[in-house]
Amino acid sequence: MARNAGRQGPGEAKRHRAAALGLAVFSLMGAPGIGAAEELVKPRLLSESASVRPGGTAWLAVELTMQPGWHTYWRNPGDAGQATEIAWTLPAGFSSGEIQWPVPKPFATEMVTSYGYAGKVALLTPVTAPASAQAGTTATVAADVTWLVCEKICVPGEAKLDIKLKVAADAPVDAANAAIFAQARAALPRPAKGMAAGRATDEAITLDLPPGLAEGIGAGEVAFLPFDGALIDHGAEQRLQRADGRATLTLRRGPKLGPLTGAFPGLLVVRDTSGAAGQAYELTVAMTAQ
Amino acid sequence: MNRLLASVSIAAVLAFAGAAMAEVKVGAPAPDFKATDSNGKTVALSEFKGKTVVMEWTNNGCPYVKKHYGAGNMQALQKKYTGEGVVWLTVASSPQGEQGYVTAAEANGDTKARGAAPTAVLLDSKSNIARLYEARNTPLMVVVDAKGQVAYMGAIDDKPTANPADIPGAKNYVAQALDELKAGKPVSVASTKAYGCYVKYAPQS
Repeated sequence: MARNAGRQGPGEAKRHRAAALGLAVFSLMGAPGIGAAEELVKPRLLSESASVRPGGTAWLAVELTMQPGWHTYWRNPGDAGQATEIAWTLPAGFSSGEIQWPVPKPFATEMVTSYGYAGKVALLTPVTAPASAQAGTTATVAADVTWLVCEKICVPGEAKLDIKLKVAADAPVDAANAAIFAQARAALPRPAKGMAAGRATDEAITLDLPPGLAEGIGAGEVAFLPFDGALIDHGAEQRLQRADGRATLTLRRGPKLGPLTGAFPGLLVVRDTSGAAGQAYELTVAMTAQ
Repeated sequence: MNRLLASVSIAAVLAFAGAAMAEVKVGAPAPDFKATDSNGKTVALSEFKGKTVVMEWTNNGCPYVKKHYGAGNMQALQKKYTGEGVVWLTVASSPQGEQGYVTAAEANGDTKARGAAPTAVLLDSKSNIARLYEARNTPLMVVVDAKGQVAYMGAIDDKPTANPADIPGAKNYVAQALDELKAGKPVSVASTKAYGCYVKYAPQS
């Protein structure tokens, strides 16, 4: 594929089609009439700035655009599915951080509830340059992205993307991508104030929500989405009970059996009485002795 | 208490209670069922009491099923353990019109074409057995011990991907459970989260 650095938008990546095509052929063999895997998902690798400062952090985004009706998955895909993964190849001294996952939507059938994204999703990841990075040099950052995209059937996909960042003392935000990054940040959960206390029986996990959070819920509905996919039955009704300004949420247990100890994080998603999505909080549940 | 909240809470409790009355549980008796296999024979789980039974949920179009069949992994497990007297039931629960649905002839054709060796392929196109076992994924693996109790339920192995290159390095939970049962040992990992495509259900009748 010919390089065309001058015509590419700043911060826009090139795509290597070989791996995606290979997997597309593999998928086509079992999925007659379905388009190639890469068409179901259009991936892009974007940078918030065309440059990164020595010792500074560049925010990158893997943006996935799904065909209507198709969805990709959250860090905990729920009962079925597979989370999108990004494997980074970085120049010496550079490091990458964790994907910042936007709040997912549930996708529910009679027996299966999954969590993920329809339409478009931007997965932000920080990449940090070493202090020794030389201004004036170019850093090539590569992302090997694998995903599962499903509608009624599921098709795995992969794309190898890369982007060139200039190492410079100044790293202004690229106006072309600013809206995408702002939207991605707005879709992130907020940290909850306080932790939830958790108690488990063989059948259920009960969360005692911290008081500030309980008040903030009002008359709306809540759902707890753990990051660990083995803890709860994602499709079971989550029973919310209130008394004296406290709120408890009861979850049906999943495949992970036995006593639960330590702490586990998840999202508390609040919907208002009309069902519209409200706030989402990243909440840690600290298990108490059972 | 606010009346709206009270009725919402009661409804939620009732729904939760319904959902909590699941039939299948590790360590408890495996729910019995009757099904028709791909040779037209009626098969009941209870007829295998005294033997170890593996139930393998399948969907021949699912990339995670194709991972294991394409690499010969599923067939190797079937051959090895049926050779040791284990009963292997492959279950196809997709309804007509959905991916994974097979007629008896198609099921037998698949078995032959890929060199599979199940004891029987159960045609569950009304998704009754799937509903009974709350099957959510293909592949889902259930191991029932000789006493008829669920000894293992969950994933086939510990690498939840569609990539066949992940098979050799993976810990196979089914092989592990079957080997432990044969040796009279407790099953060390009795329950894991299954991975794979979601099971397509026939509408509830």
